[in-house]
Amino acid sequence: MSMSFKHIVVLLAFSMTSHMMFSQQKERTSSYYDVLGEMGVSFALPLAYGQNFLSEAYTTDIGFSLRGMVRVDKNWLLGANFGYFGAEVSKVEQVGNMDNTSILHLHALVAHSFLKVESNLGVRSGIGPGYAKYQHRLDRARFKDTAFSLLAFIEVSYRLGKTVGLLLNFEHYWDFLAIDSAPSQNNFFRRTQIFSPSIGLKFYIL
Amino acid sequence: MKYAFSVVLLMITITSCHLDYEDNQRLLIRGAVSDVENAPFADVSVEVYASGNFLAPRLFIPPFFGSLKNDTDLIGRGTTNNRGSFEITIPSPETFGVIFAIVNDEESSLYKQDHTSILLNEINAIEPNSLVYTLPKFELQKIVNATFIGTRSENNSDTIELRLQYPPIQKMIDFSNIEGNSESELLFEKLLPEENSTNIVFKTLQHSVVILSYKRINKGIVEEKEVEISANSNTNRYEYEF
Repeated sequence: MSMSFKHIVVLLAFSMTSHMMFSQQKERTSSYYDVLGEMGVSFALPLAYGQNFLSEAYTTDIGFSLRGMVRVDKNWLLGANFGYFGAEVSKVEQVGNMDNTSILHLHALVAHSFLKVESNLGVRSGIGPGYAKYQHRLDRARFKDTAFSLLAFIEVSYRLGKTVGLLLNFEHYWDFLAIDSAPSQNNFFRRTQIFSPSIGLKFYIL
Repeated sequence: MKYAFSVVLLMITITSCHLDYEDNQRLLIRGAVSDVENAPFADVSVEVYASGNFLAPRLFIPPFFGSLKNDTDLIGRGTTNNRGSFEITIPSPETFGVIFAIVNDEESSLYKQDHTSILLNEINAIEPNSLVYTLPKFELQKIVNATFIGTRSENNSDTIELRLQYPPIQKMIDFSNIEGNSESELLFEKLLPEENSTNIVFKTLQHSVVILSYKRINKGIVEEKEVEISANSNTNRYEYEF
């Protein structure tokens, strides 16, 4: 039984395709096995800017950011981000008297890794929608302002060992608050921008 | 019965016993301060408070309910600008209570000793327009040391009982009762027989009018009179001859 040229070509093509698919599968299995996900915790120094109540009538305190992400593809991750920082009123006239204010953010995230996820040096960028809560305390009363929020971040990490690494994180929040105020103050109270650089540790889930 | 008791117990427990504030809401208070010549008064402190009386629950102590307790919070603070106007943002009180403000408070570091303090009571009685309370313009009058000199030239055997009614150095404007804001200070004095004059020193507002009421007594009331007296604007003296 002699094979025609056509049969040889089909066989070769099948062989090459199978080999490529097997290699890819092997690579994927190995990548998934190496890093399944990651968690980062970092201390943040948030800076509010723009013409809004947070930048003009508050001083922001140190805070922290907690991020967990799961790898869903070669260079793509999904996760969530929690951010917290405190703030003190510096101009009572503009916002009212509060004993203290805590600002919490919770976001869902999609992130892209520009380098191999398992490489020592990691560069990631991500974005996601979320919720912000500005919790105020005045004497024994607690009340809040809430917001729809967007988060974008760029993160540079360096893996020190199999499961631990260092993290340098630049986050940016856009908060769209639901505060009802005098018409002349609507722009002042309804949107804040916060740039939050942070440094911390990253833990890799293998 | 057991259910009803539980509900009552729960209601007592959750009864708010302090001021609370609306989420996602701010109010704005606007106003202006001038001197008696209608010139703007800059750098005057304005402090805004919320206040209310609340039931203090005392569980397990019959009859369960405690007394009413007052809760007052400083909710906003500001100063007048070069045009004499102020805008103060405050959180919006949720529970029943009053919003009041003190202009030129004695406790403030910007307190102007020689000018009156004004209590603006029940600001929330004004109807807010788009979350803005617009207050009328207030005059910050000067406080002076005034003297009343009463003399008599005849009837030395009479006793004169006199009463001076004059504006206090701290003013109150109650927005829930705008007509009835004429509180005044009272001073009583007696001019005995053989005394020809009396001097009374008191603090009042510059250029204010005092009301003198007196009775001349000599084996019964001989004369009873009430007069309004204006001050000598240079010496702040009120003089009257009986």
